[in-house]
This record gives sequence, structure tokens and C-alpha cells, in this order.
Amino acid sequence: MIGREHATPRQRLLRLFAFILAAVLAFIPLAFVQAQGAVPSDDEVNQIASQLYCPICENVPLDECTTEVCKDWRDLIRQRLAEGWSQEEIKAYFVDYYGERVLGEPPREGLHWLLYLLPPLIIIVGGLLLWNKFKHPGTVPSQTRDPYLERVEQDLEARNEK
Amino acid sequence: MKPNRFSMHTQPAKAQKRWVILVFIGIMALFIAIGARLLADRDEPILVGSKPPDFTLIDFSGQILDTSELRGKIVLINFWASWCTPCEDEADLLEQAWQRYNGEGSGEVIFLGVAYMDVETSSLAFLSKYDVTYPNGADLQGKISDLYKVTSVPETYILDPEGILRGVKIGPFASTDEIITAIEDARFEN
Repeated sequence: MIGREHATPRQRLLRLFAFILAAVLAFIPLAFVQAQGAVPSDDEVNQIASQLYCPICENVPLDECTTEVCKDWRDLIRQRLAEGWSQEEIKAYFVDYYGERVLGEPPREGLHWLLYLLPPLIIIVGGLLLWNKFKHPGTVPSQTRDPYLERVEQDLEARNEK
Repeated sequence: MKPNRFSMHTQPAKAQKRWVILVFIGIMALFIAIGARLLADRDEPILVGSKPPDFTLIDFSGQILDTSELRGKIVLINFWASWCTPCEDEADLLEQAWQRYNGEGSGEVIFLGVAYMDVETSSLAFLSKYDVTYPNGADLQGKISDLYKVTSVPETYILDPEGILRGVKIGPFASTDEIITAIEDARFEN
């Protein structure tokens, strides 16, 4: 506060100039970034393209595909990004236009849920059965027991009752 | 009083076995259902003489064309794409054949172009480049090509006035005469 009271008009002018210069310098990178946003980079395009598959050349992600149709599709993604579309909007457009076959993974809806739920369910059920088997290793199904064992069991029960 | 080891697990073992059998039957039923679905979806070509399902095509001008409403006419359905080089050679031939039938003014023959897995702007540029005048539209979600089991482009299918498939051309037509002959054969067979 004391320093400000003692500043000369020339110092005040210099401070104002420095402030304006700093503000301008601070906005230059921001303006540069905004200008870059108008033309999406290859990385931005490929980030979406990697989640889509070429329906012509099966099992090839769009970002790795070298065919003419994939090039057209990547150009379309670039164009949509430049228009301000979000990643989800672009993916939805591709599904609407070309079908679900373009998706890298099946959508989580309808019967597709079976694909996500069944494998863990089978693993859990299998694990439970194994756990049960190891917990009771001596279990002998009644159908496989021979008459001698039946007799021994009856004798033991009779003995226990006594 | 100590229970002996034989009587202890008899009932749980039965219940467990029942569950194992139920789970096994469930998994087998699931696999059979998936197998049946895959069998139904397999890419077997549609046969000449069969009646392919009807479809609706929204052309690039927004007009809706339903093949069920085209009975009484011969319908030529051409699957193409702007990225397909043989389609470029064929486009001019198809347009010439269309001009011939369209010029007759009888309206007995209809051409439908179906853009397969194409970007709309590229499709429109292609149609403009080759001055294609018959109705063309996008194969939205690949539904039309699925119905016709299309595996590549170009492919052309010709339906007779009753909607029965009379001609199939896999690959490009070599000449306008070949297209006209295929159409006339469809007319004759009907």
C-alpha cells in the first residue's frame, strides 16, 4: 500500500503497460487452442474411430483401416467434430446410419445384456459348484452306494440310537 | 449322538446333482438358441425364383419408395457405393439403360439405386458426377443389403411384376445390352 502511494505517474503508466502486456500474452495460447478446436486433430478423430469398426473389412477398427470407405468415414468424423458434435452424438449417428455392426462392442440393451451377464454368471455358478464339491469331498450320491454300505449305515444308526 | 458320514450328505448331494443337471440343461438350451439364430442369419444368397422381402427406400430427395407398391412393374435394384471402382464403370451403363426404359414412358420398369455403406456426401457427388437420374437412397443401417444378403458391390437384382426374383448379377454389368437383356428375360419369364 505504501509503495502504491509513492508511485510516480511514470511508474503507474509502466505498471498499466505491464498489466496489459501480461493479459495479452495470457490470452494468446487460449486463442491458439480455440483455433485448433476448429480443425480436429488426427488423435481426436482416431479416438472415436478406434471405437468403430469398418463393416466392409471385418474386424478392423476404423482408425487402423486403410480402405477408401474408412478414409471417408474418418473425414466424416472430423467434419462432425468440427461442427461441435460430441463423441456420443457421432457414435449414435453412425449406428443410426450404418447399424450396430459398426460398434466395437455390443450396446448394453435388450438381448445384448446376455453377452455381458452370462460369462460372469457361468463363472460364479461354476465356482459355487466347485466350492461346494471341495467343502464336502466325501459326498456320495445315494444311487451309487452298494447294499453293504447301506447295511453298515443301518447298523451304525441302530448303535447310535442305543 | 454323532451322525455318521454316510447319512449326513445324502440329501444335499441329491439336491446338488439336480442343480447341476438344471444348469447344464439351461446352458445347452442357450447354446441351441444361439446356434439356431446364427443358422437363420447365415449369409446364404437369395435364390432366383424366390420372393425377397419388401423394403422401403428413402431416396436422397426424401421420397419414400416401397417395393410392395411396385407390383406390376419390373424392378431393378442396384447396390453400389461411391468408394467402389467397378461401380463407376457400371453407373453410366445403368443410366443409359434407365433412359431407354424411362424414355418409353410406360413406367413398366423401375430402377432403384441403393448406396451401400457409403457417406451421403460422397454418394451425392457420385450421382452428380455420373448424371444418375433414377431414384437412389442410402441403405440405412444396412437393412436392405441384409435382406438381399449382399456381400460386395456392385450387385444387381431384378424382380418381376409379382415381386419374384428373376435375375441376379454379382459384379458390374459389362454393357447396356447386358442390362436390357436381363430385364427382358425377367419380363419374358413372368
